[in-house]
Amino acid sequence: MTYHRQQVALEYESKQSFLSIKDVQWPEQQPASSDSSDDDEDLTDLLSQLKISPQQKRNTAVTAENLLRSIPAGCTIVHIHLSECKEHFILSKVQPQGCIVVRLPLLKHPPEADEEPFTFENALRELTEIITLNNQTTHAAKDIPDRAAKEAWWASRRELDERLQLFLQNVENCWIGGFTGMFRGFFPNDDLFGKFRLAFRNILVKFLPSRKESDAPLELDPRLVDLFLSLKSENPEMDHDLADQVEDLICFALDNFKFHGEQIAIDEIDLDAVHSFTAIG
Amino acid sequence: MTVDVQEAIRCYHEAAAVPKQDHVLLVLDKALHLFPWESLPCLRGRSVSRLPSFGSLLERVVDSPIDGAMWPSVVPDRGFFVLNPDGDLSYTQTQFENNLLRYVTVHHSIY
Repeated sequence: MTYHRQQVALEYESKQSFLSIKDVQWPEQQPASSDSSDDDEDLTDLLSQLKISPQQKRNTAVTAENLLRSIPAGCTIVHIHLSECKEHFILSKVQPQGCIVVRLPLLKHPPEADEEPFTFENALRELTEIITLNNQTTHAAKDIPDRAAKEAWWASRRELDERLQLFLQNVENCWIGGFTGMFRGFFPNDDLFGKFRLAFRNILVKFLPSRKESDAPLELDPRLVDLFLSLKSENPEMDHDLADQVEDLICFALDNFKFHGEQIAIDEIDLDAVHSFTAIG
Repeated sequence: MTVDVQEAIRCYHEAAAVPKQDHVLLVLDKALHLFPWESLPCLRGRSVSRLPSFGSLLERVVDSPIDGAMWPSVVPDRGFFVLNPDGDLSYTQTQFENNLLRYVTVHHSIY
């Protein structure tokens, strides 16, 4: 659907040849010394080639098989979709060896009384404001009269930089959380992976109070296990965040088991208590 | 539980070879294009590009004359760059000029 809309837009634009060429043409006051006339001709050529004729149109249907076949080696496709109500992301990772789709709520916890929730609307407003301020200060740069004003200008730029940094951290921590593994390829499904999968299952079984010996073995989807492997600490100082991310993913995994009929009372599993238990043990 | 899982993850990575980082192709909802996804901490420094839809991927890869899924090749000479158009960024110009000229030799405007 999206593709067809793009095609229509492209076709429309290519018919507006006057407009599109004008848009990319250089202003007339360019230096006479440069090879400008050649450039213009090349650009016009380029644009005329861009026109979509029926013969050049794509003839491969957008099917899952074609899509999987068309992914270049060493490449992971990540599709992010915002739900209609703007409260969920539907994140999919597509690779020739498999796909995974998860639905993530943008707000994982009900917001505290004094904090502004990082909803989609709030985030969009913040980002738009950062961009507007950035543009304003950039354009104002040429009119700075003296040294003091210059310092104030730099201070405001640095502040904007920090604001964007905080914004990006919020996007990752609040929205993506433990699912950073969605933005990288699958780990190889080898012996080592099998070993981790087993170890992970043993941990789960140990801490699920509702599970009995007699129950059927816990089935762990390798794609779910794979997500955990991305939560590797690159920087020990960030370990606190990492624990949050692991917790995030454990909750998702438990929810998932519950959905598939596993009897789990998530309230009974106190992740923090388990935390101190392992520290003593 | 969190600690145990973290420990298991650590053990895996100690034993496993450092995995090769994939190239990431982002296909984004139209409402999400404004966001700088490439700068998220988990994608920073990685090789990332965007495509508007799955259909456009098929068009670029499957319908290209090359057999099999491959990256379409890019001819650097067809690229274009504009550097320092207002003539007030001399430091930026020195920093980028030579690097850019290595790839794009024909079409450029340096002021």
